[in-house]
Amino acid sequence: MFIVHINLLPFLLPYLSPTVAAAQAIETVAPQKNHPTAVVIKGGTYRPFYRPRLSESDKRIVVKSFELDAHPVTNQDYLEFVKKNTQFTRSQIGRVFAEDTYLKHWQTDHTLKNEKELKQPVTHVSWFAATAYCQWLGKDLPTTDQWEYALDDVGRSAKATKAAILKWYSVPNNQELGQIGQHKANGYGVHDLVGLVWEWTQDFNNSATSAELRSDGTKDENLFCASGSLNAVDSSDYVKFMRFSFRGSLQAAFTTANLGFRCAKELTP
Amino acid sequence: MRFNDFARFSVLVVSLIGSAPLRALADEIQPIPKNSIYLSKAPWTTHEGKTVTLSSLRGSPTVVSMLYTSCKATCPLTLLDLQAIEKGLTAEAKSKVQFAIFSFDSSTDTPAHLKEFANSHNLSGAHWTFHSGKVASVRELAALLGIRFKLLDGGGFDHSNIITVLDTEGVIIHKQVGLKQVPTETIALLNQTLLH
Repeated sequence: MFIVHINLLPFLLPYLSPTVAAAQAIETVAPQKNHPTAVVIKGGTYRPFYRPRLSESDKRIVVKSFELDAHPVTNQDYLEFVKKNTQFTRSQIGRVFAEDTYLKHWQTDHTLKNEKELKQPVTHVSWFAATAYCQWLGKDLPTTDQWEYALDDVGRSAKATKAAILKWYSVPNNQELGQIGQHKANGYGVHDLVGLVWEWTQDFNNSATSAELRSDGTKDENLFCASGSLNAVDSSDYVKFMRFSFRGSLQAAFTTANLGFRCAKELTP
Repeated sequence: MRFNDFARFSVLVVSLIGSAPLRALADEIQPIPKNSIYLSKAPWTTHEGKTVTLSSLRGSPTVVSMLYTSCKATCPLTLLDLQAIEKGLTAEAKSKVQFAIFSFDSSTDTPAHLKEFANSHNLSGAHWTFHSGKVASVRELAALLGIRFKLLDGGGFDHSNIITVLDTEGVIIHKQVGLKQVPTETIALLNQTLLH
């Protein structure tokens, strides 16, 4: 196989095909950000979709103030991470950390297919990879509670959010992914929590709907896939149910086409 | 310090001292397989107070389980299941198979606490190792093993009960899912692994 050393590329460029030149152009785009990277989400309480025990029906979850990325992590952002952490390139990542579809929409280890992708949310990333990216920046994935709390937006945009979600769910899967920040931010200044991609959460695997979890002896709810819906605080809240059951179906090495992430950070008091 | 810097720094230190630890040497000669959970770099502390990564288990078939010591409901049963596996091993297997227990509970299960737990359950043999680690290490290992867990409000954890068998290189070769399973398959596999 013919391999061009990366440092030679500028000298060889005039002799190479236009596609290679284009790929190189993408590679050298400076990691500049023209959007606010993170916003502060003021703490409070929210009503979770799934309550852990029947007796705790009225319970609200306390969420402390935290920082959340205003946008999902883009291919451009992730490319920078991969270049500096080569163990996370497509060819080098351990299979135990990511399925073989990891970053499969990229051209090579270090190049995207086209310029549009720079501002599209990164997908085909596993939980391990997403976690490593956030930790690289001194952050972490948001907890499910933090993520849901941010979407909840203290009720400010409830109707619009629900409508946006249902519209999004009706979009066919094969449609090209949109770019980040195209839609109005919510009350906190957070964009694209819904409408583009599903997002990893730190504790996606804490869902109590798995049959493998021990039963607490009161009920066999853990054995039945749909029984979670009977426990829902508001059984009409179908869209929340979709999210929770989707998270419950994930494994940490999964790398699917419609799943991305953003990072969060606890605020030190 | 970024990982790459750290790696370069380590190489420097190692070459200065002139005596790379045997383990690191072995890892270089025979890289850890891509499908091995021993690729994890997450730090753990054993009940003897030693800081290790999963790759310290390399070399012997290993039975892995996660639990926490203040657990009253299922964890004693997990221990019984592990002991049932040990009991079924051939003499040769018994001398080679190691049992590695990892705690969900980063705050209570200190190395000293785990040591006491091991002693009080007669699990103090050299082939039993108890590990505690930071929340991030716990999360990563649970993810690697496909174990779902959740911190409960009153303390304690809801978690799936999975006993995992790793080959000598840390590749998952078997999962025993659920409590009080008859461990015939697990035992047969472990006894057989050692024939190669």
